[in-house]
Amino acid sequence: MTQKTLEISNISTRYGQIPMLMNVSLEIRKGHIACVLGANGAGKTTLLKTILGMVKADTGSIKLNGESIDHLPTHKRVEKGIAMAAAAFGTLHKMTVEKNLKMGAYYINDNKLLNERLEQVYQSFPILKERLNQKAGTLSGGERTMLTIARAVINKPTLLMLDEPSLGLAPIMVEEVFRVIKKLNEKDNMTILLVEQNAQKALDVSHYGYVIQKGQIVFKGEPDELRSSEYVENPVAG
Amino acid sequence: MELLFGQIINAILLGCTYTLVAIGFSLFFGVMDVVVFCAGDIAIFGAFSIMGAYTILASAGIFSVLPFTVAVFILLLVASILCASLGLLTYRFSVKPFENTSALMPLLSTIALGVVIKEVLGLVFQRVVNPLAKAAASGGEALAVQGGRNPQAMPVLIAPDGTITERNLIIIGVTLFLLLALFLFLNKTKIGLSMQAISQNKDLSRMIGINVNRIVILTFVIGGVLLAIGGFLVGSYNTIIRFDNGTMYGTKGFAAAVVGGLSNIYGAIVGGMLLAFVEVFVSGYIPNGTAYSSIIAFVVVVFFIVFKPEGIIGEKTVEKV
Amino acid sequence: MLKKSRKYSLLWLVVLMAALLIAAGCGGQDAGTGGDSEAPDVVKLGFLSPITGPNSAEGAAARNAFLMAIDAANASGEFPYTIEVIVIDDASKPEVGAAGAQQIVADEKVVAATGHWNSGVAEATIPIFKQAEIPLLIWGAIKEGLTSPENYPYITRSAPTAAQENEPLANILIKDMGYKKWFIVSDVTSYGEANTEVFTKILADMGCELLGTEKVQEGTVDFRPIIQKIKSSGATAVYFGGVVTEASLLKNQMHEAGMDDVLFAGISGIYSEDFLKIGAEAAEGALAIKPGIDPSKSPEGQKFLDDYAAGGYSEPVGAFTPYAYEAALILLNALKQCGDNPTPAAMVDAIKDSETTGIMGTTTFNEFGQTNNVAAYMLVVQDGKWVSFDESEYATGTRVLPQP
Repeated sequence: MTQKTLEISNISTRYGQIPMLMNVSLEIRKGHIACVLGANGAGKTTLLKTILGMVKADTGSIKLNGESIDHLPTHKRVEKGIAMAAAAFGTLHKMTVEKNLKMGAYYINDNKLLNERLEQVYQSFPILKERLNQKAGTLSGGERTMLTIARAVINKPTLLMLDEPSLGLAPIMVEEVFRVIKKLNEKDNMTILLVEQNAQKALDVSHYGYVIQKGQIVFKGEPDELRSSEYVENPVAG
Repeated sequence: MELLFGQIINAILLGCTYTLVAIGFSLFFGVMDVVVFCAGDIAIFGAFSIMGAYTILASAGIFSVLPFTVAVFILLLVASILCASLGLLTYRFSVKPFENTSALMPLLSTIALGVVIKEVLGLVFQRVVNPLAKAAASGGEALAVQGGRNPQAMPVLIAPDGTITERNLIIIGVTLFLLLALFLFLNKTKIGLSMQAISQNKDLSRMIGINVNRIVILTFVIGGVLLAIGGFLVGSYNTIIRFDNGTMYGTKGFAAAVVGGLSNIYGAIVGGMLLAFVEVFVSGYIPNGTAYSSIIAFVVVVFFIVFKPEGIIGEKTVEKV
Repeated sequence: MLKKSRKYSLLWLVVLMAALLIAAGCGGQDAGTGGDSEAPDVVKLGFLSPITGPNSAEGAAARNAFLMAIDAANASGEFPYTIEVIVIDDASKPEVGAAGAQQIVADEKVVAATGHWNSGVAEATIPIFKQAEIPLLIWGAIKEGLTSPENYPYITRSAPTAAQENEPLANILIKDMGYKKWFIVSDVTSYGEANTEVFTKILADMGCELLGTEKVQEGTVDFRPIIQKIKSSGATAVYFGGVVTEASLLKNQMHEAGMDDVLFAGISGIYSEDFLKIGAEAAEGALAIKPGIDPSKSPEGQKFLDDYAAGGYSEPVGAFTPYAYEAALILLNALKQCGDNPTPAAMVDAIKDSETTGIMGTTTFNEFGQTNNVAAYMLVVQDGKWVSFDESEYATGTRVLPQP
């Protein structure tokens, strides 16, 4: 039996009185990349925030490696191994790149381990190594996305959640970002939940996919199934 | 030359007192994005709690049993605990309930809390003797107009047997020490770094696993302790404390923090010193300048708000997302 | 049940109405006797002071002294009528004082009134007395402007105003002691402004050098920039024209800056225990003026103090108690001038033109009703106490004040 890293059943959330997610169920197998495709405002980011506990779910349950995390606050969920990278959330702009990375490794108290991890991150993201002492606020868009992802993977998370990593990037940078994502999955065997508007790119690296519309999962399947479905042929992506 | 030197010393000492209150504002603003307007009153509360604790401990004879420095340390500890608790109360009842409302709400509620702190101090430290009777004895109604709540003499705890220069050096030394300690704390400890992270990006901080609530609470505790020591220095420098001093220090501290860029504690230091220098030099060199020193100081503040809203050493880091 | 409760409420209502009627009846009866007894042998005076509230000690002592004088006059048989006093407790509240003033002017027998410890209350009653054309003699409120050309001749005042103290202060310090180089520090309140204005004028008139003027906000705690300025100005004396807290801080910080060689003097606002407490040893040698004459210095004054003590009053003699007594003497003097049938109109003239020698010296009024009697005496801080300057070691030469 294949192990499920993340298992979400019947999650519903609201923002004030407005329903944001309705009975969303979703699962990711260990070592897989799953993508959630959807338009702006479909509820993709809310889904990630709910998994991380930054948004409270009204109903439903979330399990990480088979263990319920519903009662845990955000920082405990991070400690359990969920990491989220979202370029839209920005960086700690007044801190250097190195400090940003160290803040990402918030739960690593062992200095030796921390330095090891930093070295590994520099290997995966060589561009950051050149920028170590530069303030994060001065990075270019692509560099910032890299920093965001690097900061999330430094913890070697059980589940890496990427929120629109291609957003606002030049095509060449988009290629680079997806190359990194694929490498993280294949080389480091990282389980990834990828939320994207860029459906084609996302499906290229994913093992499984979901389509979310107006807070509901309307379709799920293998990448090929999604490609041939109405949702991707007539891209909801804007 | 002697005049100039004297005025510079005056400005530095005044600047030290403004700086500590301004840093209080900056810390609170940094983690909560709100102006906690009762910071000045918390500092004066600290001074009063030291005075009150001194009176109680001295009458219990503690100063004859313990070495002086230990006794002073105990007083500071008592004041720090009380101010930290007051900081917590401020957060719990005046800031947190308005977390998701407009920034005006915590501003108003902390102004209100400041009034409460001030009035309670005025009531608790009222003379037992009817001070109005004394005012009458002095033949002047003017005194009665001033009200019954009199200033309190601050016990001389800084350099009790020393010279004025020694006292001034200690005030500057303690301020420098606090600033250095704060600098190390903010940059070398996880809590300090978390405080910085929260002040830069609260959502991201939560996302990377910082227990934001805990850090915010700790900030109010640390801010309270800092303000307690600030109040102690203010009281010791002025030799008296008045229950309503908090308003003045609150306003000046806030102004200094604004000049410095509000969430930037290094800016708060520069802002505090700038404000103090403007005040002292206007007062000291312009004929009848004292009446206008505060006005001119605030004109400087308005100038900064209009022309350099990011503060004197604030950087223009507009992060496009 | 309903019926029963209604019956009870009706009962209560009746009791309440009865109580109101009785109360009103009493009042009516009181007014009635006043109206009925057209006997020309009663003349009434109004007296207002705060007998309850924050200033009750001073207000009640003033009342005691005033009634003491009136009782003595009635007992002396010098007057062909009995003098009655309507005592009004203004509780230091303008609205209460105004209501009391209405009560006084409504009584036909009233020919004059005196009162007020609080200037704010006086401001509220002055229009009432003016409109009723009944003279009001103020004995204890010291704010400038209560006596004025507009209020003359109905409003007179036997107590010196705050600004009037400056004259005797300047006479002693400049003419007698010879201080010529001055620096003025005051606060921005109307009290401070008035003092600054008066003292600046006096300095100019007496040919002194004014080396600087600084006005501070009330609540100022840091005077050091000003002190540096005073130091480099070469002033030999500092005049303080505000109230006690700022004064004691200024003196304290001057001492701290090693400026005990500069004289520190102030008006009566600084004469307070607080000055000693906050100033501590720094207060030594500070001078303050106190209006009036020390009653114990004259036989008449001492007699008043003895009589008051013999009266067994619970309130001690306050600073303005002698002034209330003096006000009674002034009114009695005016009544004498008015003959057997005094009227308010006659009393207005009699008071403004009066010349009364009582326990505080001789009181006459100037062209707008303010007393010309500005007698005052100097106090000095010696060993943490305010001491009459004439009795101090500074007067004998054992201790010396800073060089002029």
